Amino acid sequence: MNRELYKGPAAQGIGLVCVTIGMIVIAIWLLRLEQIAESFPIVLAMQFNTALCLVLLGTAFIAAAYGYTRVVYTLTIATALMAVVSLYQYVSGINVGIDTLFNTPFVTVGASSPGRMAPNSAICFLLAAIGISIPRIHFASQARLALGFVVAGIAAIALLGYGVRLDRAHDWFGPARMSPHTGFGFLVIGSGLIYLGVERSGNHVRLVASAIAVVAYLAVLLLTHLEFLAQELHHREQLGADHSVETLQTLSTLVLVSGILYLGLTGYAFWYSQRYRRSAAALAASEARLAAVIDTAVDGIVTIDRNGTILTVNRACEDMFGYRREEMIGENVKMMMPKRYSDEHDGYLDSYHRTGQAKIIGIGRELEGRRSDGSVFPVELAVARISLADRVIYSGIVRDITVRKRFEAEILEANAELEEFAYRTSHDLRSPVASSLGLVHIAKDLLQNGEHGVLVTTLDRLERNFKRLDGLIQNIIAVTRTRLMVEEVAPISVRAVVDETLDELSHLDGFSDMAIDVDIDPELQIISKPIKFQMIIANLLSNAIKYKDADEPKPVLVISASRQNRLVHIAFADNGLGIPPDARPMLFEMFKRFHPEKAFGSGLGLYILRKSTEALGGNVTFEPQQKGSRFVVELPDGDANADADSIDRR
Amino acid sequence: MPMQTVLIVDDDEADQFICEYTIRKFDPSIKMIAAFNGREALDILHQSMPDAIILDINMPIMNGFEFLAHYAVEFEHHVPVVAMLTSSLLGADRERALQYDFVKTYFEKPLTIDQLQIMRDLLE
Repeated sequence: MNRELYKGPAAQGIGLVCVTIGMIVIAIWLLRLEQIAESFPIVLAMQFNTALCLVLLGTAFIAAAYGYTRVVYTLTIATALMAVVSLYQYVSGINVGIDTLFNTPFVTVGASSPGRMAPNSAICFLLAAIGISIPRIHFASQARLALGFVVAGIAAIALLGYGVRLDRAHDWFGPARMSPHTGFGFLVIGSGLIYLGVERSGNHVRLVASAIAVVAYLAVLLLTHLEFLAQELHHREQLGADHSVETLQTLSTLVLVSGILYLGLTGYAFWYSQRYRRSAAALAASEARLAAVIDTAVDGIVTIDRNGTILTVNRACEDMFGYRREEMIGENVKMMMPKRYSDEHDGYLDSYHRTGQAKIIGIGRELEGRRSDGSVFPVELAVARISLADRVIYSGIVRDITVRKRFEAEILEANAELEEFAYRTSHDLRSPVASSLGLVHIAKDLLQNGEHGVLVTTLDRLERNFKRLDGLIQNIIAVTRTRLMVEEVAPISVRAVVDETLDELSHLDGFSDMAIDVDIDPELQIISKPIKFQMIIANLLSNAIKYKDADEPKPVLVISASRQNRLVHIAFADNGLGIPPDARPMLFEMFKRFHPEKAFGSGLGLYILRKSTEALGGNVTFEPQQKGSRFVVELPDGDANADADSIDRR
Repeated sequence: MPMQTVLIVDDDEADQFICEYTIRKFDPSIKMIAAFNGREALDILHQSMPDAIILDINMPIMNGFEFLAHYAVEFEHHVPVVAMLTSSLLGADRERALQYDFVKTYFEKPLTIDQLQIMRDLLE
């Protein structure tokens, strides 16, 4: 017996039906309602003991529904005991007195001895009592099912017997008969046991109904066959062996064979349905597993039909595209693409269906996806064609490759820059070396010829050449440092750095001629990387000094700084040579020199400046002036933790 | 055609000096005109016609390639040009210079007397 098994309205309903029938009949017996015995004698074909057992079993069902295990066992044992004793009386022929123990019948209908329970009823009570009380383990479940079939079968035979007026169906021995209401009670109990035996799987009702129909049909067939046999015997006694007897024999055999065939077929159908149920359950479990795998996949997985209508999407799709699942299913897959793809998509599908020529199916491609907010992002898409039994669908695996694309672009950019760097350095390093070789050759020649005056200027040129080479190498080191140097952020006073750098550069040619105006609040602080920051300031200062206009009577440099919206702007405005308009677009690129005749530069200064500001999460811009240049460096002030990330970003 | 006047296009003062010295030593009768970038060279060419041009490739403002492009379209008659490469290892530079038929050859820096002899042989 199992508490869970009997939970629910089914067990209670069964119990209630049995108790009601039993109580009514008990009431009639106890009240000795003789007019009922006269008008409807069949009602009292249910003996008192039978009615009592029915009430006990019905109560057991209800008790089981509420989980009163002990009550259930007590009631079923009592029922089984009465049934066994009644059966014993039939077998042994001894009257042990149980028939009239609780009530002395005032009338005897359908009983071999006053008050005696019919044998088929006794068997049904015994089997049902066992069926209710056996525990719910695997084989017991099968046993309960079998017991239910037998009980329901016996009851169905009895009831059909009343229907087709076949007395043998309800009267097994002599006059002892199962009354129709007893039959009904057993039908309910048997059905209940079958229902509980097959457990809860959805199609019980149909299964139970068809099982009872089968059992009843078979029983009637059997009875018909027996009736035929009896008829045949009767004819043979009266007429001896003749033609009509043979026909009866053939008919009765036919009935029996068809019944056996029917039984086999039904058994097979039942076995098959059980197997189907098991495989359906296994299939459902495997489907659930697959669904879980798909739903927890990192990549978006979407299926569409041949018109592009979305059939399924997984959770990653929801996250990636910003739509909810129900917003996507049933829509055209074009909703997940930017316009330039979606306009083409119908065409792709059409041409694929027409020509079989795949643009993407089975290939995998990088394209763009569109989120619900309209933003576009790069995706990698692999599409597969799935041929189902009745149609074709397409599955797409979508991966968001925003990060990968960004890295790719960064790597390509860095690579191109390195290539350019290698090309330019090989040239620019070789250039002073080649000149020096030429100059050394000349110097030797001059020395031989004793032309000492020219020799001195040649050696001066040689020295300048080496200084140039040295400067270039220094700059290359600076570029490398900008690229590779790992530096911690620290609070920096902008004013202090500018003043210190001015001090350091005071030895430069023309420094003293220049009027330098520093307009920076001494309190202005920036949290950034000190060495890179100092490099930026030194770069801009030395540029302003180196490229001042020699013809300008009063060279001026104004340095100012301010904080705006978490950004520090540092501006260097001079009235120097400026930048020729056609050179401005490539101002911050590698190895560009704009004033070769005025000062020697490696062509790396502004490139280093740009790289350093970018490394600090900022940028540098050039603004032409009426006369001279104005460079503005914009850096995040780094004052909040939130900004620390953007500073560290390269 | 005798090599009497040579236009030297080079931004580097040391290289200009080397060219000047080497050419004077090779043949003191050769006249030399100096230009410090492609733009200056074009200006000079509009006024006078040298017998040959010694052209540096890497120069600011207008480099050797830009000069060649302008020279090819702006002038009907072209004098022979010799390209001076910093390093002849850079094949792309070499090919790019030699695609103009008035670029006769290329030399690797620094300029030598032997190279000048080759240049004179090519011109005559």
